[in-house]
Amino acid sequence: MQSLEEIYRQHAHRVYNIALNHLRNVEDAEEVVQDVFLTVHEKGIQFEGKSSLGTWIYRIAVNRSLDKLKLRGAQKRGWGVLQYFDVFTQWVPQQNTEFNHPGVALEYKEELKQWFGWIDRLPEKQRTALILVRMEGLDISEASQILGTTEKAVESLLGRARKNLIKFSQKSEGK
Amino acid sequence: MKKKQDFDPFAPANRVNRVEVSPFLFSRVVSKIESRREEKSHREVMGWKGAMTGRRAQGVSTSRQFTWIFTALLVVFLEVIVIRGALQGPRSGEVAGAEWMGVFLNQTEQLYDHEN
Repeated sequence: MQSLEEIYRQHAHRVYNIALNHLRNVEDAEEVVQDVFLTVHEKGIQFEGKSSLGTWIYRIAVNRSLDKLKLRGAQKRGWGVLQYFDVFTQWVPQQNTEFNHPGVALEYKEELKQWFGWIDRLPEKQRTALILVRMEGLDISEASQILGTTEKAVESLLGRARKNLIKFSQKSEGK
Repeated sequence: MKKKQDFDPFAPANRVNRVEVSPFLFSRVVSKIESRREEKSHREVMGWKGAMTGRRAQGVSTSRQFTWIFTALLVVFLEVIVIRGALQGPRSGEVAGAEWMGVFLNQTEQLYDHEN
């Protein structure tokens, strides 16, 4: 059986990049990596071995990243109001939403910030399929296992993501 | 001008470089695991389960302890009843019943008076 350190060495890099591409923030992505490997340590015994260890770990990474995004959204919608009251701010977990992606070169920063903005408007599954296949370079079958769906469904998700991104870019050009 | 079909909306993905994970992150994961383990053992020692485990380790049977506490409480309760009875003196059931009925009749009378 592999030790946690070995598992970490094999998969941490991809887990970090999946989280970073979802969240575009170094601190948040590092938190996700820590959460993922804590879960692997605690629930490793429960891992049934139906899928490969990597697939299982990347699925946890995707879920944790999406949870963090939801928390951000909830904070933007509801908790923003509470920030007017100093008393409450200490109880509200602060989420850093600043665009901080070390994989983006300075000359592309503005362009990619806009592109990631469109990606954020995609439905969850389309966004994750795009990140796994086009940014992480996973093949369709691996991505389908992580998303818990079929290969055809992943292809269809990518097709719809493409159409949506074209629509968003046309809208932004029309402004 | 770019035609619609020339535009690849996934192309910007190629301009995002892969990033190396910080080498210190694993030590943070390990320290979190250790702190959780400590927290768990602390909770076990301080909690009810921990207290019981500690007593069991000392050779004190918990079920026997509960039986003694229950018996002691029962004895105290019975003694209170006996002492109260002794203080009130000997009374026949008839007297007690008449007293109770008297109270009841008085209350009914009061209610009757009040309504009229």
